[in-house]
Amino acid sequence: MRRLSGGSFTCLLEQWTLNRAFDELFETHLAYVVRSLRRLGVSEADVDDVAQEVFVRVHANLTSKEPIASTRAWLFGFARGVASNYRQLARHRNETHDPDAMDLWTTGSSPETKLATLETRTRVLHALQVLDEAKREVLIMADIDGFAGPEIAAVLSIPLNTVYSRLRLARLEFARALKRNEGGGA
Amino acid sequence: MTQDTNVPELDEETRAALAIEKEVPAISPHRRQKIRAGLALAVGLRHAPSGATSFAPAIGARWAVRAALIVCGLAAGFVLGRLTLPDPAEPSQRFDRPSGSPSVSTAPRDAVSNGSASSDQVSARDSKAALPVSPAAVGSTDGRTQRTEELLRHTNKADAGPSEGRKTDRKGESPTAGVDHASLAAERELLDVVRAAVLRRNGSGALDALTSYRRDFASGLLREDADALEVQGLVLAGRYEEARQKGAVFGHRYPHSLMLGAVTRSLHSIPATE
Repeated sequence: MRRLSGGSFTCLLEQWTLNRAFDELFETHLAYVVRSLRRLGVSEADVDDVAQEVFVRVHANLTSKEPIASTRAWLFGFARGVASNYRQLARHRNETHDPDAMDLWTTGSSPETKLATLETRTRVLHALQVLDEAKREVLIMADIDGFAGPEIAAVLSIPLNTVYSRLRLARLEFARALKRNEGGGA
Repeated sequence: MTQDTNVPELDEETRAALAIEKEVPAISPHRRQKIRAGLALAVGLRHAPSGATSFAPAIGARWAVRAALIVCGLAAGFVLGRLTLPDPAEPSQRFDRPSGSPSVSTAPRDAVSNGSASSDQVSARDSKAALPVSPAAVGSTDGRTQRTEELLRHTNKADAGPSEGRKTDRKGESPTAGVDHASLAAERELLDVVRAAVLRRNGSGALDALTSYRRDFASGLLREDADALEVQGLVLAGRYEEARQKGAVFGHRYPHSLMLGAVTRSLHSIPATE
């Protein structure tokens, strides 16, 4: 049997460790990435493919995770980049927001509660699409994901004051859009 | 983060809506598996088989499976060989009858050796020569002939086709054998959401939930229910033309459906002006 040299064994071990880390990342954060992509305007029909692309990038950058960001914030950075490329494609620019086909199967509540949740989520997604890209990203990170200002500034590579000014405008616009959607359903 | 940065606080209603959005819905296993499969191809990792949860190369498990396959192959080959090939020790048992053992009819062989056997007798003898002689015939009770008889019995049973044995095996089977009950329950659960939306006369809600159903269960067992609910949802959402088309397809596809009445009633509720 061919014996592995010390170098190749170390390499194999490193690869194995990286794959394990990636595996854990995928299992733990897939749902978050998929949801973030939906919030960032990726259509339901394409979200699985775009999520796959996000994880391809994550895999390529597994060793370069910035120590400042939490794992979710780090993943959000990839998701926003891929979602931005997705939206820039001509065929996606004027796409209307499709109905939200979220996974309802694990929620242990009654059908009525699930339906109410679905309606609220759809309204939120619709309202988010009213905002421009920059404001939307800040609002998602601050008010949905609960990241702190400095963390948002680091992930988006913008000054902290810009984070706050964008958030202020984003909140006003989002609240208005949500009220407009109210009563109109999805 | 907003206290000392002049960022306005969100009102109660907006905060409540965002709180619901904060909870990240789980991803169904089959969807997760689909993304994983694509990803495994894209990044050159070995795709874990269905249900497996690891991208990491399970070297130990892989070798164990290979070893088990080799052992199974060898065992199967051995059994098959013993079944199909004549035992080299048997001719002496068949034809070189030990002295004192009970008599075995060797008439055809003797007849051939005497040149007096008919062709039928020879062919009958030849076909039987391939099979071992039963212990009753040779009167031998040694282990080998007993084993051969057992194997023969077993082979005959297997050759007998759908025999009583198989029938009794099937008696114990549930009529829903082969149905994935967890998946069926999940299907039903999703359709309950659609049904609730239809009952609340929320057409768009029903269609949204149906989108979720169709994505998760493209070839689900409850497609008939889903199709019926879709027609109802379309009518409620005011998409009358689509509803009529889908209704016609439904009637054609499921002419004896229990839900045909509900579908027809729903189509009849479309305003005459439309």
